[in-house]
Amino acid sequence: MKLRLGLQAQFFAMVALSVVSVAALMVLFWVRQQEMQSLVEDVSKQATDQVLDANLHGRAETGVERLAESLANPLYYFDLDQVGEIARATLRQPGVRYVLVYDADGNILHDGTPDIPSYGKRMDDALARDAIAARELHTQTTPRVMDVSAPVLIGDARLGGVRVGFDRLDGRGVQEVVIATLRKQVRELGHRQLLAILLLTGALLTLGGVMLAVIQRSMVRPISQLADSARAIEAGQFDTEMPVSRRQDELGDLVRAFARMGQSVSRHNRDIRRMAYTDALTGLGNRLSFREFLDARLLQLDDIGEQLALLFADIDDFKRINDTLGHDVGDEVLLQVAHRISRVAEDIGGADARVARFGGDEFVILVEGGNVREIATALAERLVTVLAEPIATRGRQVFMGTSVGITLFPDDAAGATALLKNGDIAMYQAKVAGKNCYRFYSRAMNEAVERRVHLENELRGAWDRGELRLVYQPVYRLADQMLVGAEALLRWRHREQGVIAPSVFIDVAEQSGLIETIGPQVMRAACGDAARWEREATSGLSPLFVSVNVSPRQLRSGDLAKMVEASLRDAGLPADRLHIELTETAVIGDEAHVSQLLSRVRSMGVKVWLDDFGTGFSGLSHLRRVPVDGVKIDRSFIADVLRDPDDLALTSAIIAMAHSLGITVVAEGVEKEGQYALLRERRCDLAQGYWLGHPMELDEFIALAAKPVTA
Amino acid sequence: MLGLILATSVAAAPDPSSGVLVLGRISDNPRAHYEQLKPLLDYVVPRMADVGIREGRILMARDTQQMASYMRRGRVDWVTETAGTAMLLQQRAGARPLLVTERDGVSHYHSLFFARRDRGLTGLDDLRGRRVAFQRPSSTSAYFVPAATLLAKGVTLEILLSPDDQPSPGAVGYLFARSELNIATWVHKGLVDAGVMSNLDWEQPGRVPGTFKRDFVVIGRTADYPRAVEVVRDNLDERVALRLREVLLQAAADPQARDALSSFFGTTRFLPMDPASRRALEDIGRGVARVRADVE
Repeated sequence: MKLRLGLQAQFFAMVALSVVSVAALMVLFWVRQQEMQSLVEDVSKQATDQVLDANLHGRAETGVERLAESLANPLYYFDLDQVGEIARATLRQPGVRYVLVYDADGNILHDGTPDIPSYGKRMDDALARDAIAARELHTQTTPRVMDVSAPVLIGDARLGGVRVGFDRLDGRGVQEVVIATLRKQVRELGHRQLLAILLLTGALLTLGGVMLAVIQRSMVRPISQLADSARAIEAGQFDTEMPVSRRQDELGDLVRAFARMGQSVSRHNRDIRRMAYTDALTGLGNRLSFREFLDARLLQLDDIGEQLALLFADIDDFKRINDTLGHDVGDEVLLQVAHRISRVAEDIGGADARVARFGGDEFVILVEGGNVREIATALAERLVTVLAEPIATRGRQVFMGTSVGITLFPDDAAGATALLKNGDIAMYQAKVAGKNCYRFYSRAMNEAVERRVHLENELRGAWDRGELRLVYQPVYRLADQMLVGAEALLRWRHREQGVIAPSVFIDVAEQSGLIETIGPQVMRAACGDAARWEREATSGLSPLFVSVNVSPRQLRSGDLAKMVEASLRDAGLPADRLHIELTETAVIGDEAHVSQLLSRVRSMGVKVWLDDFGTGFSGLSHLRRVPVDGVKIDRSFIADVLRDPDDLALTSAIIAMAHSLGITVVAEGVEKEGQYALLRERRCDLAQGYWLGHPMELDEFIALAAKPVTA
Repeated sequence: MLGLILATSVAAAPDPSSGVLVLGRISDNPRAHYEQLKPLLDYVVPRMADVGIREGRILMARDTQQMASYMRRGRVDWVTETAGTAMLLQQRAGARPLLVTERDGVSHYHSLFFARRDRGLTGLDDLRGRRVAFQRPSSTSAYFVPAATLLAKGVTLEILLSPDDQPSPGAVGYLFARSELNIATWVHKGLVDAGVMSNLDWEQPGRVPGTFKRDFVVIGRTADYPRAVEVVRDNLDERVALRLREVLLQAAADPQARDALSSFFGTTRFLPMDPASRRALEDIGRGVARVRADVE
């Protein structure tokens, strides 16, 4: 663990460092003071020593000199009484340790005592020799004694001498007292200073403590609280109580700003959660929230061994409602659908049933408890029934079907992801099965879907691998049976699976969005091919057009005009050689938008045909609003035109109506001569079909175009 | 002050019948002695009014010669002195002994010869060829009397220049040691062979330290003689002399005189000159004369 030096520790360290530094300085100062004291004592002692010695020396020499003079007469007369008196008087002087009066040979004559026990003895102490030998005032010192000797003279004759020992330590008593007093005073001063230093250090420590406490209270604690709150918010606890401060300083500002930020973050979090977990339109849970709930439930159910069922409800052809009635109506419809689903789910699945909107027109219901298969079945049947009832909105009735896919836990899958995927597959199968019904998930379904996914993946690189190619089915003019153009048709020969039916892979491309990639490639290739046969097949009376199918997705992507223009320019193909074919359903819905789009294409000279005309809901009314150059009558009408009078009538009506609008009519799927004849009779403009010509390779078509042969 | 008194006294040479009684004293310390003399003089003078004495004066002399001169010239009427000096004044100025003076309860005393015991001296005769320490030439007990005693025994006295000096064979060398303590010290330390002093001094530890005395032995003594003597000048009015004698004799019995006597050199009483004392004085007088003749 890495040691973390917190603010408090840092402040503590700073204050401690300051206090220790000052204390060290104090101690240093005090030690210096102690040294000073010793020094003062020593110097004082030395000074007084010197003064005392100097005084003593002066006093001693003067005294001894006078003593020697006063001893001259008594000594001359051997007046030992007088000598004794003088010696005694001298001895009585303070600081005199001994007095020795001696003769010329150094023998003691008197020592100041009444009975002179040392009389006549020769002086033999350490200082005696020099003293006896001295012919004038002579001073010798030992540590304790200052020995001053002087000869006693009468004229030049030396009678003897006198030695006086002065106590060097005399007066030292006073010196000791003075020094002791000095020491005492200096020590007292030192003690007062020590006391002052201790008080100062104590005050510093107290100040440091107070500072730390203040810092702790005023800075560290609020910051720690802020940090705690920040950690709580970081951990997602937005309801954490925020620190409050009435302080007017920067920290107060920070605390308040932090509190506001916390509230703001909390609010944003609520908003984001709501947005993230709820469907804005219906107020139901969304995919994310449902997924989380499902994960949690699966964990719990796994333990207790209970079952649950997921129902995927998808409104059939809901896009048609948006396209035809507008998104506002679509939203209202969705709201009502959601309401119905919720009610049904609650009725049958109980209060525990959970409904979510997965986006668009897809709803998911979770039920559990009891026999989930029975409940799910009942719920699905009911849903299909209830949602099939017309929805009234804005004064009109909207009819819809619903496909429901059901998957069961733990039968179908153990994990949420697989379960959701299974539900989706089951729902898709319900669609495939004819819509407006429900299906339980089965493994077989899974395989079908997986095949489809596989196909999608294969299709993704098919163009680049050259597996996709264009074939051309010739289109003839019925009036004179002249070749006028060809419809470009896409073929896919998979390297392993062989030829794949266009109905299969076009659907996959449409559903997966691959069509948006493939479409322009087809357009470009077709334009290129048309330009080629324009150049190579010169025998034709009239120029040959190429007709290219455009999917509804391409139409919605919006850049159709640009794409067409670019393709024409790159191929060098005149615009009037290109026809684009749109299915009726692609046009239905946003007519205004489509009209504008098509107008741009048409303004370039490109002709627009409506494919599979007659199968759609909207009928002929659209032709008024959508500018097209032609319609292609669906092959289902042509197939029975010879036998079914209704189809013949419908076909005849379409032709008549189109001609009345000035629109060209093309018949598809002409497979018999009778059909051809009938259509020519009914004055249909153009036709294509096996009887007229199978779809063929480009080279074949060019060869065909080169021959001036009619069908 | 003292000089003034001295000067005036000397200058105003009083007539014998002027009514002034002059008390004299040989002194080397007039200042101290004046205070000792004055109370007795003040006691005596009022009591001598009937003989015409109205005033008392004090006159001190440096030495015997000067005092003798004063007495001869009638300047000093009355002197208190030791026996030896008193006899000198008698011989030089005709002074008359009036009374024996008892001091500290002692009216008579004598001198003792002593030597270190280890010198082997047993008597005064052993002193021949030896050195003796006297005190000073004016000392009665430590010079006049012992020297006279030795002379009387037929001994020759020779003054020595220093303790190192040696007397002639058969003679006794002597030195003046200035103080009794010096005498004792010289003897003890072997500077001289013997010393002499009064029996009173001998008994005083300040003069003969006990440690010395242990080593000493007394080898002879003199006859007793008066402690001190009051003398008057030869030509003093007899009435005055008698009246003075009378006043001094009764003073010991007079309580008013007690303090004056005490300060008068510790005098306890005055005694009439008895025959024994007179003989002793005469002996001393002869001795003094002999000493002066033979020695000095």
